[in-house]
Amino acid sequence: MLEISPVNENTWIVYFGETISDQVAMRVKHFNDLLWLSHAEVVLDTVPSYTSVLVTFNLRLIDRFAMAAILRQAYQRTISTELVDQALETLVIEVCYGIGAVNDLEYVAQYCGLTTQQIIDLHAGQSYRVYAIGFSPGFGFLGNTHKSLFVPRRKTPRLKIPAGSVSLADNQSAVYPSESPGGWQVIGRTWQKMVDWDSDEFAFLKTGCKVRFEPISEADYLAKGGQR
Amino acid sequence: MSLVVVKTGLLAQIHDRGRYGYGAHGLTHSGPMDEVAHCWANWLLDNPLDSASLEITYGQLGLECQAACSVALTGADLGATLNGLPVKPWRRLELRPGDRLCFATPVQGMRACLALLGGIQCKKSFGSASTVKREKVGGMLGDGSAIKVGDRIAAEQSRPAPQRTMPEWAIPTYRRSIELGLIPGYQFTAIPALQRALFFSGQYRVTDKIDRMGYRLKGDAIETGINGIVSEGIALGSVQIPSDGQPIVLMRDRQTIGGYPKIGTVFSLDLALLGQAMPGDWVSFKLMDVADAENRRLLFERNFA
Repeated sequence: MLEISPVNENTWIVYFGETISDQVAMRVKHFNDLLWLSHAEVVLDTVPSYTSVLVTFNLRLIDRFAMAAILRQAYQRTISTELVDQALETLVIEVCYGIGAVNDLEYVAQYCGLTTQQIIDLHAGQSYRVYAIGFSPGFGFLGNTHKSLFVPRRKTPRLKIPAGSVSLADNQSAVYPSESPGGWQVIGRTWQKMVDWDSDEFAFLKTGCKVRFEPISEADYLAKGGQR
Repeated sequence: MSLVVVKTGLLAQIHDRGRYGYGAHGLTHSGPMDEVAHCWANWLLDNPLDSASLEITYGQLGLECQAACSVALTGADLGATLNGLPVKPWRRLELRPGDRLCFATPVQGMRACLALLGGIQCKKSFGSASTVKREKVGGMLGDGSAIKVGDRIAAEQSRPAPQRTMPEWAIPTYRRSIELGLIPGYQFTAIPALQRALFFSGQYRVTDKIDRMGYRLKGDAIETGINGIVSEGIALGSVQIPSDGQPIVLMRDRQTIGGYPKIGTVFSLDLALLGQAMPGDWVSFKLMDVADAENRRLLFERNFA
C-alpha cells in the first residue's frame, strides 16, 4: 500500500508496504529509476531502501504538493508495470573463500554445524537481492541468505576489515567496499572493486539488483589482482 | 588572493552546500553545520551560495595572508584576532600580505565560517567540495582530509569586493539554551502520546558525544515501544530514539540509512543553531508544522535571491 509522508520542508518518504520482499524491492528500484529519468530537474537526491524511498527535492523549483503529485504519478506507473525480474541482469561477484588473516569461515562453519565447503556451496548456490545501500558508500545489504547460514554479528566489531571482504550477519550478506571497521563475519574476499571513486557510476551494486557469488581459486584470485 | 595555514586547530574543513545525487550509493549530503553562517558569508562577498568556505570548529586556527584578499567571517565568535587585535564576526575583512588572522577559543557559538572572495579553490568530488573524512571525499585535495599546516587556501577567481554589510536583524545570537522546531514524521504517530508529551516538555543536555554525524542529547528517556524498524533513508535533522531512550539528532554527515525509530525532523534553519551548541548547552523541542518550515525556508532563501 502506498504511503507518502512529509519528513521536512523538502523531503518526502514513500513507503511501499511494511514487509521485505522481492516484489517490493523491484518496485522500489523501478520507482527510484523512474524519478531520476523523468524528474531529475527537481529531485535533489533519493535514498532507496528495503521498503521505502526517501526523496529530497529542490524547494526553489517545486513546492511540496506538486512534488507529492509527481510521487503519486510515479507510484501509479510503478504498480501498473508488470515487473519482470529476468530483465534485470544478475551481477556476479567472484569470491576466494577462506583467504586472508581476517577470516571467520571456520567459525561460521562451526556455529552453523556445517563444513566450510557446505558454507561455500550454500552461499554461492543462490542469488541475492540488493535490498539497500548504506552503512558506508557502496555497501550493499544482500538478502536473504539460506536459513542454515544464519550467524550473528561478532560481539566485538573488528577495527579493520579489508576492502572486498565478503561477509555474513543475520540473514544478510555483504561485501565491504573499502577498508573499514565492522562486525560482520568474513568468509571470503573478492578482487573486484565495489566502488570506483573516479566514476560517476561509483557503486558496483545498486538497490534492487540481483547478485550471485562465484567461488574462485586462490591462484585465480591473486592473478586477478586480489590481495592477501 | 591566498592564505596559508600556519596553525591547525581542532578541526577546519572545506564545505560548500553539500553533495547531492549520490544517496543511492550511500554517500552522505554533508555541507556546512551552520548553513546560515555559510550563506551569509558568501553573500557578503557576492559569491554564489554554493561556493566553498572554511568551517572552523572550536578555533585555534592560524592563517597568514600571502596575497591581498577579501574574506568574510560569520558564525561563532571564536575570539578571532587580526594581527593581534580582536575582530568580531559577521563582517568582511580586507587582508594584506603578512596579515595574521588567528582564532582562539569559543566566546559564543562553536563553528565559524570564513569565505573568500571568489570562493575557495579545491578539487570537487562527486560534484561537491564538502569534506567527509570517513568517506574520503571533498576538501582541498578531494580525499576527505581536513585543513593542515602549510595548506594554501586560494580563491577560485578574483574580482573587486562588493560593498556589503550584514543587516543587523540577520545576525544570530547563540544562546546556551535553544528551542528547536520539530516536524513530526517517520514513526511519530507510532510513539505513545504520553512519551511524545515527555519529549516536548523535556529539557535535554548536549553531551560531549557530538560531531558532524550527530548530536547525542541526554535527558528524560523516551520509550518508543518500537524495537527496530525496517532500515530507511535518514533526512537531515532526523531525531533518532534508540533503545536507551536518549535522542540523537542526525546532522550533516549522518549515515544515509538506519533502523532506529525516529520521532521527527528538526527544521533545517534551527539545525544551524544546534550546530553552534556545545556540550552542556540545553535543548528543547517544539512541534512545528511542515508548512511553517516551508515558509520560513523560502523567506530565508529570498534574502539571497
